[in-house]
Amino acid sequence: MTIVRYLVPRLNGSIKFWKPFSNLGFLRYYHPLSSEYDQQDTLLEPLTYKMGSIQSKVLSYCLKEKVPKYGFTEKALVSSINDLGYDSSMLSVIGSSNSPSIFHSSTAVMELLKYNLVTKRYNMIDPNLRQGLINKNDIPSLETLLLRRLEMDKQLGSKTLTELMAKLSIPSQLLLEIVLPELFRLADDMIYFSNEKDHTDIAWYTKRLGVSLTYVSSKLFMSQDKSNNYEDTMDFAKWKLNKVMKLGDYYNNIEEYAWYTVMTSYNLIKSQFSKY
Amino acid sequence: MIKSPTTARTLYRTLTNTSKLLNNVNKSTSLNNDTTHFGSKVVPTEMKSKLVGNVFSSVASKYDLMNDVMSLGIHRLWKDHFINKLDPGKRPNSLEPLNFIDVAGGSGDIAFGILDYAKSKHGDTVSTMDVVDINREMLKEGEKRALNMGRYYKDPRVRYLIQNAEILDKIEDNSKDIYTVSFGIRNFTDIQAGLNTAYRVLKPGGIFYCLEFSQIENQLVDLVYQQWAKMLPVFGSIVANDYDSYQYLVESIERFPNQEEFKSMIEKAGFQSVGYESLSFGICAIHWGIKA
Repeated sequence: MTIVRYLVPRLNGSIKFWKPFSNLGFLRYYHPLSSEYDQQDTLLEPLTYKMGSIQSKVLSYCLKEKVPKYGFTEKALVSSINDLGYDSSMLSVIGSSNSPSIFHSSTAVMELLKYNLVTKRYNMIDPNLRQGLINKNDIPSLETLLLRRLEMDKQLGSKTLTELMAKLSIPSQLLLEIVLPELFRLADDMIYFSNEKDHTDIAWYTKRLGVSLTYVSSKLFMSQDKSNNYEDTMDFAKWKLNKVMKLGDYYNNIEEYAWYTVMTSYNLIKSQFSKY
Repeated sequence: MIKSPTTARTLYRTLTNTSKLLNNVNKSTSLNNDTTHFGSKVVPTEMKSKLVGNVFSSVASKYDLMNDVMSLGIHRLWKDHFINKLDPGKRPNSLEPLNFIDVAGGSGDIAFGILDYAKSKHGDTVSTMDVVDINREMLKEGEKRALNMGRYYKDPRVRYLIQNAEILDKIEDNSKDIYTVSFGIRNFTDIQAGLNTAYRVLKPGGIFYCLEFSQIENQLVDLVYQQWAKMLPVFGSIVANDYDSYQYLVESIERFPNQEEFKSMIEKAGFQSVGYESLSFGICAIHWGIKA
């Protein structure tokens, strides 16, 4: 599996050349490296605008300056728009790719939620690691990436985190088309870009599901955490991840034993029939 | 006389190929000479706006009724979704009022819908609206509607302008925040010129928002729609006593580029973050683009 992971470039195109070549120092210098491009022009899928666009400018400002104060609300967006010198039509611009939903107040707020999830997932990974420019020994562990992602939400505060979790779980098109796939992509990135062993069988899914559940439960814990600098949350996340990974080991052992039993039973039956 | 099924099939293929060839010739004629499409007919470019004008002059008085008959009332849901998705209006804490322009919007349903939405949802009673149409009769219908509604008639916030959407000579560059066009852009003589003009009149950071018929993505729905479309000119002749105008409307829908092609045209005009949402299996679509 390790071989497959190293040889198969990612479908989303985030890795521009094969890892074995980069590790050996054979970089394709005759092609420009993606790291040489201006990162401002990067398109982070599933966002439909580039990082240097007006939408991104307003949303990143809002996330950094206004969301900790006003939460994920239209008030935070309007305040950001005023600060940056735009008018209310910017809300239509920001929310243009979303459809209105009964339980969500505004398409622009939906985009703010989406932007928060997508940009933090991308920022969780070191750009050099994303491009395969890091030595094999320096690849982070799954636990490191999980804690790094949780730390990104520290600045929001417990109250805003509770509000965020509530808005993300509202039954809507956003939940099905963005929130759940984004959670899966996050778990996938954590496993793919860490030194965690990967699989090609059903364990591929169960491992991602396990990491997703760990992340969500840690986030729920974080939203109620009153400890200094969210230390309890970090301890909880480590404990939970360890538990899920152990569960994975149990699963692998059971699977191995089940196969052993099936094969021996088959051979036993076959040997009994061969007598006749 | 056709002797066998194989011969019949061969003859059918020959006829189909000939028809395709003629269509291609028609298309190339449109590209090479100063001609364009008017429904399925090829007409001189300078004639199209006049012919479209005649169509809308003819249907103006029965426009709303016929829209309800032709779409079984669904056009109201599409327009409602269009406005809700756009979520227009000056927010209470925002600094500047917005400047809307609704092109090919003589009937006023989108323009007044936007103003109503802005007022009811965001308490916006200061933003302005330019209702623009090339056709005088259609604009009169809009004014009549405003008069009946008891608002937006002789309102200083609302201007009714007879304008060619490809030029918009009375609209200044970089002056509008939101440009909407609903079921109108397919009637432009030169759609690309209309999009370029939309880009010109919008402020940087402004949004182009378009509702138009498009390509149906589901084959079964398309089959049903094709049968329904054959009935529309008949309805037109019964309700509005005008077969030809509604025949044109059906043909112009067929001629209009599909979602991806139209998206490319919007990008070609200079818009960024261009996207679309298909409605009712792609019977129509909302396209948008941002002027950076």
